Amino acid sequence: MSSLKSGFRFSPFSHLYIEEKALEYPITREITSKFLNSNKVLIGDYREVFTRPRQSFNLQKKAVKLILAVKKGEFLFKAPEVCHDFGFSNFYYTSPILNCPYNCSYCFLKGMYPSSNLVIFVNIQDYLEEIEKLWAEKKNLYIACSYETDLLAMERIVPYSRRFIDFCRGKKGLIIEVRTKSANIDAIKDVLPAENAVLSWTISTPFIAETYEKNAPGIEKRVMAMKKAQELGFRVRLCFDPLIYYKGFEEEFYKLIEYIFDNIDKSKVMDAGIGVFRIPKEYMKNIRSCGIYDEIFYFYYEEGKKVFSVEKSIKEKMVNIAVRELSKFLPQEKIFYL
Amino acid sequence: MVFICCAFYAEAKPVIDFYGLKKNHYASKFDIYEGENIILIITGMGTVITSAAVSHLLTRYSAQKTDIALNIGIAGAVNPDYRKGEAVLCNKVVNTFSERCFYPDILVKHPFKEGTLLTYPRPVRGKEKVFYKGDLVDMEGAGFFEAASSFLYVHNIQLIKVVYDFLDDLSINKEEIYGIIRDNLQDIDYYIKALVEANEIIKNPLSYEDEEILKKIAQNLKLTFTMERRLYNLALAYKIVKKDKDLGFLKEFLNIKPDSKREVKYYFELIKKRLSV
Repeated sequence: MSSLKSGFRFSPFSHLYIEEKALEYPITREITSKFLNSNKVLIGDYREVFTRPRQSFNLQKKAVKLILAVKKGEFLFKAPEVCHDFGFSNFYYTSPILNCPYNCSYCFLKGMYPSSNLVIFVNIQDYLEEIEKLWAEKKNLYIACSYETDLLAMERIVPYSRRFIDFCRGKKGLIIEVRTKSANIDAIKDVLPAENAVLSWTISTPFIAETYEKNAPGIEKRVMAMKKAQELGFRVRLCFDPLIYYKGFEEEFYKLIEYIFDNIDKSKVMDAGIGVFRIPKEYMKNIRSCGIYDEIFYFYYEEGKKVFSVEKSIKEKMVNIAVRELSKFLPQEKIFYL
Repeated sequence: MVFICCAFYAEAKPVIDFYGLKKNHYASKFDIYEGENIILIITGMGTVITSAAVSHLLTRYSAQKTDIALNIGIAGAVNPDYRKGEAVLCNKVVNTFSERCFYPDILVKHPFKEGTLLTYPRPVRGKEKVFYKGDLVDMEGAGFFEAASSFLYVHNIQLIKVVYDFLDDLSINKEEIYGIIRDNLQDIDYYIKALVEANEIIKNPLSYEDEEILKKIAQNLKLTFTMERRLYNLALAYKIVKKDKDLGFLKEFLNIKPDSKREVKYYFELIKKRLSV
């Protein structure tokens, strides 16, 4: 074979894998109408594609496909200890979409799923009904609906952020959190904000964003999106999670906080969460055994009972810096850390 | 390495000529042809023998996950939109015997039409005999895919079928087969190169030489399986985190043959220290 370069290109969204059962849902038609040139492949069950053996997570990221499926079984899960509960005892998460359009090097999804293709469950109404049932039972309920994806980034493909915001409006005791790195706030600018819907932005220092948060909007864009969200009337949360240590972290973090509060209204910040990079041991094992070579997973980490994380002294140092800087702008009771 | 599988010689001949492959006369179980980074095997017809041939081939040549396996051959078309001689890349393969479906992962842009391949256990004559949704019919595809998927990344297992008939005539004309496959080989060659390049992105940072050094050290120090895995993982982390550093400094451990378990432990700890990140 000659060694001439082919000049090849990856083909993102070139295929839509559609469960036969998903065909009857209007959301399926809405999504497929946006991908007229993609190959539509009918499948029996999304797992036939999503859990195929020997997929390359990182290579698929360059040519991500959509899988449209109907969710069965459990819709809501008790949130694990590694997640912030922000003081809520009934803290659950739900995943109407699996995987994220961004490609952050440190993402735990690399160890959680065998594929980086995006699975969209089209029966969103079933999710909302399950939340309603649980809310009726618990009275106070906190639901994170964007932990395993980025709903706001996906809004132009499938408008689920607005569905959740509209759904929770007026439901006392129910709080819905949409976590995001997106700058796509215009996608929901026509949505009436809800008092109990929280838009939560993950923010990193510029060095970390540029090094490890591939495809995600830069920090300025995220901050501007937060600012606009506040202007539109949404409740905004700041998430400094994961914090990753490097030489110069303290100085950059100080500048980052200054920049954020120069641009957004601190009185309208609901709260802030701080978390140091950590990853469940099982995920780390999966990552290291299936051909994922991002350097972030190969640094030295301390092995805890359930997670790998940075050394305790570094963790404490980072948390102290973050709390100290945030305290200049927010009261202590609005700062949460793990 | 690129592995090409064809059911019979008439399908393989244009590929052999295109790449200038030479027969391996030491291979006795199946006919195998070799070239620079390309190996072709003639599997025979049917899913079972194809699976056996693919497993034999990938084992014999110690296939790595990043190697590529391609099934090239003719097929009968159910889809009337296809024309004779057209190459189709299969995005779904149905084993009509077991009713299992397989999905090659198509990640790079390509010049082919795409379609669903139905693999039947026997020749199919007449479209009315096809009871599954699909575009093409063959007798090997599912066996090829299922066997190869035990060895390779799913994006490296691809099937390209050239439309030969429309299930109306089961007679075979070797010259015609040669011609229609040959006419698609430029596109197929482009696709192979694209796949090879895509795999460069996910190449293991440990080179062949690195792995040989590690193997030799593990052998000489009589490391247990667990210790050997640990050594490999430490070396991998070292290469990733230190980026451009090679493992040449480990060569000093190549000639060490310890006399006791205590010495083994001593040298193993020494290597671990040298590989710490």
